[in-house]
Amino acid sequence: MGTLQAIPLNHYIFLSVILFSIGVMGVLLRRNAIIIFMCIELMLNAVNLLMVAFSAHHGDGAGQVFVFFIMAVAAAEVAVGLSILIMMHRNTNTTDVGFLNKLKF
Amino acid sequence: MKALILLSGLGFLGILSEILNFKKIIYKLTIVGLILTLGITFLEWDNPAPLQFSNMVNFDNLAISFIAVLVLTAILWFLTSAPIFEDNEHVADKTTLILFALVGAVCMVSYHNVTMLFIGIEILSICMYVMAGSKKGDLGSNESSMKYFLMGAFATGFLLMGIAFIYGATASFDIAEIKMYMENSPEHLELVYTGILLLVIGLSFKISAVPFHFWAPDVYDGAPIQVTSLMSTIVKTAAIAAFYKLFTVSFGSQSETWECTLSYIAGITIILGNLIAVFQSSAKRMLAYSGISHAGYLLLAILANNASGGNALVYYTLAYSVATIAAFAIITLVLQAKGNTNFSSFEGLGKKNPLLALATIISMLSLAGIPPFAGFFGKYYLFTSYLENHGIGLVVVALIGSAISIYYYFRLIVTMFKGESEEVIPMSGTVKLVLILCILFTVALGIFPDVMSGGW
Repeated sequence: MGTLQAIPLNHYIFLSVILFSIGVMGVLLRRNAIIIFMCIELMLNAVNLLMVAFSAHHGDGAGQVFVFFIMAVAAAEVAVGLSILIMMHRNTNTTDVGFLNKLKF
Repeated sequence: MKALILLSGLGFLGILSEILNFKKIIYKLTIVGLILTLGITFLEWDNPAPLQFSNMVNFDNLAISFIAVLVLTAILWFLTSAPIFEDNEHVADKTTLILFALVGAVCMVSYHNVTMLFIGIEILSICMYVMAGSKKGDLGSNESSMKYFLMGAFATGFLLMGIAFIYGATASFDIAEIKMYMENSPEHLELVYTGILLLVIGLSFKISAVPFHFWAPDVYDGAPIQVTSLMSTIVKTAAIAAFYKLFTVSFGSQSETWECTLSYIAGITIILGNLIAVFQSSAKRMLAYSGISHAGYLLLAILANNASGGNALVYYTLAYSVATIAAFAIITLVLQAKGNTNFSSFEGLGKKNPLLALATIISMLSLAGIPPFAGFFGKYYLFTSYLENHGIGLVVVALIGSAISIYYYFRLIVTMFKGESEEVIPMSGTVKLVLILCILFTVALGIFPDVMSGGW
């Protein structure tokens, strides 16, 4: 707690916004589904960092509890996401999302 | 609250049916359970203590109405979707996933703490990702579930970032406390504005409003048709209800910060959704775009920013869900008989299939907003609630959108009576029952619109 408050809150906000933006750019630019998953995780972890920083700043535990929920949900989401990826890999033999172009009008 | 517990219990029963080997009857058990839930939901009307579980959920009359809409839609959906529960291997999994999706939807309409909103969205979404990919060998279904998952998780990132910023400013997740903070000259406005903007992005993704709609047509098109029907009714209702609650309760006093953005989103959604729907050759994809345009109309209720907006929302989602369930039931029947959902497959079907034709006419007229059907009064209430404290500009845009939509809804009706076909589409008893129920519902809601609006 003490060391956390020695660093101004602004630094945490900047760091997590930068991490979040890297995640967003990764999702938008990369073509490999696994890398996209990792970038989404990066976005969620940026949020976790921000929540914990705010929680410590306000001296309020709710933010840290929320982080636990985000972690649990992210784990469930990745479990489902990876199984969807495996299903896709079985049918197309690739993890490149560029292959997902069957549905167009 | 009882609805939440009952639905979760039904979900667990679904899992148990796999282990204890009574999955042959789980489908019927679910329908009975849902009807029971619907009845018990109404018993909670005018609940004296709506806040429950340490203020995590709020079962006020608005939430109860939305739960009733969701459960009613789910019953109709289960009755029309018997084909996907015939495959004996996965019947328990599918039933359970749908029931838990419904639990998520109930959390989303009744939350009083942003934590519950997040958990509800995730419970709903994770079940729907799996359901979208439930045709494992089909490339379209694979693509649909992958896109849905990637876009859903991406949108969740924005939503959470928004929640984090709002928490940073207000130090609370409780929507009533956020409301108090917003009303009493908020500090840290930069955090509040960024948070609200990110929440608009995240929730617009979830309701598939333009410009965050690009995933929706592909996902709706690729998923098995019954799942598409579920996505465009229950998921949309829950998402718009969550959106409405967060923005009118928590950020209602800050409306000048989000009103302009959301007005543009609503206007573009209505026009673009309707325009692209005109050029579709498949009825399923046409309904996907029509669903996008309806998200635009529903945004008017959020922009109205008053209690009558909530009432209009309940009425509209009910009218829209019933008509959409009927439309998808019809498309499913044609898909089973003809193997595709192109408009050409509908040619001449109206002559030998009177019930099919009548259900198509009434559901399409209701979706287009032609009086005296329910869809007309849905739009009417939405527009009047919006006009209470706004100018007429966006309503004119919405009316132009409705005029465009008449073209493609009527196209399906006209196709059904054009050309020669002696084909009789086989229809099971339950589907007939659902179509008749949907017709009666749409007509009755249209003739007696006060039944719904007088209640609260």
